[in-house]
Amino acid sequence: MNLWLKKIYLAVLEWIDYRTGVNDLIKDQLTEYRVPPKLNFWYSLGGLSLFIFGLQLVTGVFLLVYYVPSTDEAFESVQRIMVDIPYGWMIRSAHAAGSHSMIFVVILHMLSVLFMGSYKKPREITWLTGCALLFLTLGICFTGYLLPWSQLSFWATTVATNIPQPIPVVGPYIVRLIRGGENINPDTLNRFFALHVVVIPAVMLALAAAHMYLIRVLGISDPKKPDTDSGE
Amino acid sequence: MNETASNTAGTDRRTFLQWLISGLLLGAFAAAANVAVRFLMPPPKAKKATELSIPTAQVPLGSSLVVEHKGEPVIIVHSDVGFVAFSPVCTHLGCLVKWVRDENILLCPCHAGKFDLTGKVIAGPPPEPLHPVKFEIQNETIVLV
Ligand code: HEM
Ligand code: FES
Repeated sequence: MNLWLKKIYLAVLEWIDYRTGVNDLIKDQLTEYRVPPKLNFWYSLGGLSLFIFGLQLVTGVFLLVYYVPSTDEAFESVQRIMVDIPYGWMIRSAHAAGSHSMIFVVILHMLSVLFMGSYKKPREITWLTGCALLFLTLGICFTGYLLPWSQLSFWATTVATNIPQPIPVVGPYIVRLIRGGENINPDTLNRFFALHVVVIPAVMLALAAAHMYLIRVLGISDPKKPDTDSGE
Repeated sequence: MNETASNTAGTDRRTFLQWLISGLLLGAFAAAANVAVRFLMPPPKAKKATELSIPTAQVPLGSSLVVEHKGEPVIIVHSDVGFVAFSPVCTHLGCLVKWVRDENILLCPCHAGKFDLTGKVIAGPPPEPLHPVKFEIQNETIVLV
């Protein structure tokens, strides 16, 4: 059965490994990475969050190919994605569905960590980076929601950016800072666009890397003895 | 693993599953690639109008006009010899030629290819004449068919 194919395949892998030592890395980090026995469904939610984030990156970049970030053209460009571009509806719906499921899964992940007590010493920093990731997820959804520049996005953003208004003294300043004006205006769209596609994704990538580095260094927690290091 | 199963000729379970999974992955990858390519591929050119009429007054003597016809550009030149129409796409590497009135030539700005008003190459790298475009003149209108 296709022996020569297998030979070529193995030779290529061998060639790469000789020059990078990547096989050891794969063994250590993936195939022979030890975890406590009896892990359950709840442990998969962090990985699932990461997977959805990856999907959002991919579908988001595809949307960027046709989306135009300007108050004159945003709505029409989104209509074009939905109606004219082959599979555009699918990419956009996937991006919208992904954003909702991402919030759902990230919150479930957080609850599971909370109830299993996995945030306890020495994992406090992992917990804090996780909290920051949750807020950034909310932030990226919030900023993305304005981008189609529809009636719904406009008024939803008007309402949501009004929330800090009643804070004593600083409230009105915060609102103006977020909006870049007294009301939602073209500058609001542009700053939300910058936050949505560049700033927040970049910070999230960095934080997710730190989050996973810590998980790797500290090992996965064991619900029965959450304050011990179950790593190697 | 079951000794008898793996020793018989034919495919054992592990190999079967490996093939099955690779097949499924490959299928999923192909489906995703299809979506990506179709999404990014520009839509086919609109070739609706088969006839295009331009009043001759729009191209007075000594001027030229570039129009779009069947999704392609067309240059119409009105000189002493009358009207001529060509595809302005240079036969060298595809830049658009323009009419230089003083020299009465069609000049390509990219590598200085020059064509006369019959489309013939008179200088520069273009390997063949400009492609002519068929037209008729009926009651003061130029009709591109
Ligand atoms: C680098 C990554 C990303 C890029 C480049 C990107 C790009 C875009 C673009 C261009 C739009 C406007 C088009 C549209 O409304 O359909 C959009 C909308 C949106 N994005 Fe993203 N996005 C990214 C990541 C995310 C993530 C991680 C989330 C949430 C977890 C998210 C949530 C949303 C939401 C809620 C909308 C509005 C959806 C809609 O109204 O259809 N995005 N994104
Ligand atoms: S493309 Fe016209 S001369 Fe080269």
